[in-house]
Amino acid sequence: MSSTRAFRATAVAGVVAAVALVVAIGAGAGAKSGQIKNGGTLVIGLAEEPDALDPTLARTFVGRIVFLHMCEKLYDLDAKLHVVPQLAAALPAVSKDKLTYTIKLRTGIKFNDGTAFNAAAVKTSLDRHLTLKGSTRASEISPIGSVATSGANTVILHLKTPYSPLTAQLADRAGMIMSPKALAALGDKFATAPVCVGPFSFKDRVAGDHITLTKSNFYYGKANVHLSSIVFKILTDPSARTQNLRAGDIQVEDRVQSTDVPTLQKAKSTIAVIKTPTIGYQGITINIGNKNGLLKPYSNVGSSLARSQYLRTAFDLALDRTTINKIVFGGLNLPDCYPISPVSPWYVTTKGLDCNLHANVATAQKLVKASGISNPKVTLTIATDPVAARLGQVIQAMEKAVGIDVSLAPTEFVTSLNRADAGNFDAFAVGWSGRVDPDGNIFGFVATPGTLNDSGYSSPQLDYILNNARRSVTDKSRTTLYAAAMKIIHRQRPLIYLYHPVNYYGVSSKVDGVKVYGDGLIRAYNAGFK
Amino acid sequence: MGGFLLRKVGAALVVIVLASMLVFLGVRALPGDPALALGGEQRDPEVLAQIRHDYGLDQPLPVQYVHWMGHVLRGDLGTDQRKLSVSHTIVTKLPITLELAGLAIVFGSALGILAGVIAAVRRGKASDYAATTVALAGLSVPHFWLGLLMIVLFAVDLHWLPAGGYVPFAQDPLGNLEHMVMPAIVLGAGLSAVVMRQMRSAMLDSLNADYVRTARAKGLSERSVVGKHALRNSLITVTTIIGLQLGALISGAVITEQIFGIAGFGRLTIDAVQQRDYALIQGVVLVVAVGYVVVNLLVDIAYSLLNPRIRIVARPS
Repeated sequence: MSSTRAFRATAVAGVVAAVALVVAIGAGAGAKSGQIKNGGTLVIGLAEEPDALDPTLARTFVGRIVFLHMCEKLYDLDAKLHVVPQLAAALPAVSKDKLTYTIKLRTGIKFNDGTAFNAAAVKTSLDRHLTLKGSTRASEISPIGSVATSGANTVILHLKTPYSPLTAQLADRAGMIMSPKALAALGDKFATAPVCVGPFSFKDRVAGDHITLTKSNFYYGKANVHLSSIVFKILTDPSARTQNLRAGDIQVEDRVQSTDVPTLQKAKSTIAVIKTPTIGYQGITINIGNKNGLLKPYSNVGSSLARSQYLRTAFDLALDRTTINKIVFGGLNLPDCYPISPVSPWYVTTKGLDCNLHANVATAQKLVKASGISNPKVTLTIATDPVAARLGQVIQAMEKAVGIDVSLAPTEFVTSLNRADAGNFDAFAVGWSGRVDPDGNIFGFVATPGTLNDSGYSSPQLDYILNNARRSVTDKSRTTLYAAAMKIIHRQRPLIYLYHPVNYYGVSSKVDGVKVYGDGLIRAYNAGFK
Repeated sequence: MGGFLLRKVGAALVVIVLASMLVFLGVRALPGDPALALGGEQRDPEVLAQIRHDYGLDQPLPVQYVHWMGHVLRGDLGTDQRKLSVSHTIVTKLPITLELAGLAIVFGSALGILAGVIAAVRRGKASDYAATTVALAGLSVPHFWLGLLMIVLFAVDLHWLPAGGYVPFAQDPLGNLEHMVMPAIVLGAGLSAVVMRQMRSAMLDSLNADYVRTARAKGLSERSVVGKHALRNSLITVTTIIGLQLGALISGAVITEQIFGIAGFGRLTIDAVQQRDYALIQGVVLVVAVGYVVVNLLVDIAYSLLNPRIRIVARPS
């Protein structure tokens, strides 16, 4: 294993250097107000259509891109994905028993309808997130027992149980604060005319076509907002999206498909390509104990992979992640063996752990023998798109080399989720968009009460560690705990991680100031035309 | 006439009720839990249960159907996943696709008829082979490929036309046409090929017919023979073919709208199915079904007005 470890050390160093470069490029793409003109409409081509524009109800990834421009949060992320204050004046003060979070708010801020932003407004929004029928945020901040205010500018959160990922949750939709006046007027129809604090305010939405935002007159930082308006155009066909960018009909392209990246890179005089490794991952979930359905009592399903840890290790060692990346994705992604991405500050939790970026066929063959299972067979559920098919075929060929017979089951996505939740699968190639806090990438998937634990994996030792990591407040103690969790996950392999997706975004060279961080969200609020 | 009308309207209503049941059950026969599609990455069982409850999916099917039909009868097709009115969305999307299909018919018919006439008149000559080859290509080339090719040429390289999108005619007539030219050509390409082949065949029949020979014998000019006699008679067959192609054009619009980023009825349907947006799928399919029934009803009535024997034959003995 020493050569693998050495290779991994080199690879990690390379990855970290590449990430530093990418972050530097991303940051470098930031606005230089001296060179940016005021005015103009920026058109961003989105890859999917956002769902309801209501922070309490919203579920889609792409909706977060729109929200970033019109709904600020108590906390935000910086370019290195650290949580920083946005509408809050500072990071929360946490009591010794870790059950009280005191959040001081910034003053002199107005919502885009001209009403005042204050502690009462924050309480209104958080209470709505916790209690509105159908709230998607309720489970994200469920440890909050009650919300109180102290004066006009201080909010106090009383927790039922210690929960350190809370601040990160408040840096996403759960931390978006809506205008109480608009909430009173619109109720559960808030999505039809959302009003928050933000550089832009909602103007209109034509279903399936576009969403228009216009520059806010009430925004505290309007001096740094250069655009008059932003139009989010829904262009779900990736080729059409790229051609729209090349034709100049849109100025920013959301997630360029890998086959179009070289085309855009060739047009570098007119189009810049932003490369961003994400905090998400693609992996293979192994059904170990999901016999009766998600969250039902777990017991071993008895399949080849479920029965033998040796076989799961062999399955993993047969995979040549570097080759997969090269053949299936043209070398555009970031091969890895862990749920935390190198762009995350928490990647340090994988330090010192090995990862087979190249296959180890000889060891894998020995492990297959040691498993005692002759002619092991695995059905791998994959998506129905051509890239998924290519990934499946490459995995199939690699596993065949070590004696594992993989058959592919292309399945429509929602149906595959249904089957996964029901435990009706052997192995399932599925991805996760990633969360800033490590808890969001680990707990749900491998902890016994995890609501995404399709593997049906249950380990009291791992549960203990992950629960403690939720309770710990200091980064140091959490790092130690997550490092211990990584070791267990890597040894037991309820999930086999393959790579972290690298997203590519096309930006017209006429535009400056568009940024994309590791969360994959386009930030154009300070952008403008040159 | 009154009895005939009553019978026809009654039959149409029965068909609509049956269609609504079929739509309702068909949507629910789609594999995959809509709550999972709605939940995105959020798969907390409590959240999924709440979604099912919010959309009434935890109710027995008959209750769901009665609830839905109750709203439909009041003109309310419900609210989609974006919290937008389904009725309003359909009303805004349908005209876009109808405009696209209409323009495609205009383009496809004009080109097909012209090419068909030329091919027939110059049968066996280079222009005949050229028109036949182009027609074959028009039938064979996939919409998405032709669309992308046109975008690259006319939008990316020449910058003559926008790469996609839609501008309402009332808002900017010229902009509307600029946006619709390429999609209409792409969608109409297949139709023009069909029309060309039919036109060529019909024209050849007409040109060999006795009345054309008589016209020539009368000393009429070739232009008059072809334009006034052969063409007018050949158009009857071609018009029928164009009418039959309307359905194909509307379904073909799904792909064309996708390529050109036009938020029309076709793209709405696809998005609704992918998202398992029950309210939207039901609304879309029901509107289409009602549309077909109403058109057929109107056609029956028109036939009966034109030909009274139909009313008599249709009367039960």
